[in-house]
Amino acid sequence: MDILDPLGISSSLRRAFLSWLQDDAEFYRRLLGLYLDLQHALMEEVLRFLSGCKEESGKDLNEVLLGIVRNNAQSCRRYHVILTDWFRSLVAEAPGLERRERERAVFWMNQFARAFSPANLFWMNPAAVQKFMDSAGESIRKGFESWLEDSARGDYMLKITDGSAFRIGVNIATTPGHVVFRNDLMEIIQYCPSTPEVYSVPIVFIQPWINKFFIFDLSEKESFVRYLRDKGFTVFITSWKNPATELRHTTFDDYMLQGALKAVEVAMEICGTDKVHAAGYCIGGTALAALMAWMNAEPQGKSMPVLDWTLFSTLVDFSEPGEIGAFINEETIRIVEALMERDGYLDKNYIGMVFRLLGSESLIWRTYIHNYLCGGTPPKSPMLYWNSDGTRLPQSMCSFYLREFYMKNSLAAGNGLILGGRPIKLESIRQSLYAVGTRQDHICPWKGTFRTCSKTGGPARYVLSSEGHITGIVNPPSGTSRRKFWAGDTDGNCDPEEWLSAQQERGGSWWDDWAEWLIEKDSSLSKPPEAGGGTYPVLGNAPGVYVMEQ
Amino acid sequence: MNETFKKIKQGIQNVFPDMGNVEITPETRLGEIPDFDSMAAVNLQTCLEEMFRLSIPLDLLNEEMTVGELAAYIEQPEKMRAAGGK
Repeated sequence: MDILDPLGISSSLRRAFLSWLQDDAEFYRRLLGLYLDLQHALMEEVLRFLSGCKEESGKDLNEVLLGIVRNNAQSCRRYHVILTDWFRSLVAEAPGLERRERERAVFWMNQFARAFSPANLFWMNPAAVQKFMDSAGESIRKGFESWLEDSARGDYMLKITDGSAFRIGVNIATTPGHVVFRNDLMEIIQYCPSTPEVYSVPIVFIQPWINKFFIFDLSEKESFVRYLRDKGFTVFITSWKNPATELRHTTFDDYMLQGALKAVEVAMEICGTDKVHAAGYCIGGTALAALMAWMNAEPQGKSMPVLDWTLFSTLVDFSEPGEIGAFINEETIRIVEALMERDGYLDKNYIGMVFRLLGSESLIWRTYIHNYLCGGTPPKSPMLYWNSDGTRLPQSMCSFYLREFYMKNSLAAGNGLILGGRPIKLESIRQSLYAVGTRQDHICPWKGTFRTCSKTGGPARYVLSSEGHITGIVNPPSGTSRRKFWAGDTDGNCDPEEWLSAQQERGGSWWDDWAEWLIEKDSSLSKPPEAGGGTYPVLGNAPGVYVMEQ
Repeated sequence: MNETFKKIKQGIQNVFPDMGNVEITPETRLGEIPDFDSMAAVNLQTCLEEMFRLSIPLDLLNEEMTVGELAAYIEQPEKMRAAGGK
């Protein structure tokens, strides 16, 4: 294990560059090409500079200075593009590298390219200089204050949103409901109905436990649970405890059985039904997939409590995990395990930093320019607020998740994975699946989510949405939406691109398509159930107490 | 329209300094902005809302949206809402 290079950044780049020793003629040809491109750019930039000098007479000093900054920035950007394109292609086309090694090297090369952008330097960023002039230096003072504030927190995380603008339960996560169950791992929230009759089969959301549950209950307009409630569904959702040391030994099995399975049981008892629509998002979806296999392995005689199931941006086949694969190898997992050894959990800042690196252009560098160089206030965005409200991960679960799913791909490989005392076989799942992937997803690449349809034994409808891991899912119908989606039945045994080319592009959100699909499965109506009741009395109002834990 | 377009162009150049020499015209699609993704759309939304003191729906800022259409929305939001975002 290399203490100085725990993420294997320099080793992956070194291997990429050294691989060119196998083909030094091509390397020197590329080097010559780079030299010529730079030479050509230099000549053009000198000519542009000379022609620009004539235009400066008659302008005031600030305009002249700004003109110089713009010209310099333009030249530097041009050199930056030439150099970074050259390095990128050198890494991406390095001979003889194994696929994961190549992807890792390209990922880190892209990080360096963004970090060394001229726009990240004050004098190379015309917008920052303009703000400085317009505000008589106030912008840089504010930027310095923001930097001091971030540094004082000690988490090395830029402030991506104005957290003071949001209060959970007051102007975010406000859909009325009740906590109807609580154990050491989660609370279950049952939302209040808004229609005189409701569909008899309730929806149970198994939320991810990386970040908080309220991604499905942001502002009123964006709230997925509010949308479903207004469509006439009874909605239950899991709100996971933010684990501390005492949950060190909590396992993936616990999330599956004491979490997801319990949520299904609570919803059925409160609604007086023997079936639910189950839906899981991201890691919550992975737990749901495992639970579906576990329930289908039930000895005969016990009825299956899930009528149909839905996965939002969920991987069950981790063979191509996308850019997150840059962080996953034996060495980094050992480091993560060593980090968890003392406290019994993986700190939210490590998880947060990984997600920020996956979207570093927006979540690091554009924020750095906005907050520090331009002295701007971070945006008041509910989605970014949710993004900043991270959670910890229990040691046992986290280690298992990384090793069994990301490293061994045990869930999809069918290599004898046993959870909750039963062998987990995805092909044993017979219930209808609705799977949603998103086109720009860095965390669960859509082609990986598409493969789920071929791994399970029931009929499947796949939906591809435009946008990313969050915005493609939190995707309310609206009069102005320019978003798109493609939907169709599939057994998943074809190339995802082929499937896509055969689907009709549809405008707007896929939410209505999902609601219709659920109603097709069971359209019976009944009186809305009471909040809680019987074994599960109301314990408090939504959004509960676990969501407040930092 | 011209004034709104100019302000949007300035906003895009501020938020995406790596636009480099990409010419921004009314026909430029947001997807042509380097590294434009759904999180970048949040950054652009914030910038435009501050600039025009107007609520701009995030789902409008799709990669297919052109700068000209964006200017039209900013000038007459009700008209585009009534037309279902088109």
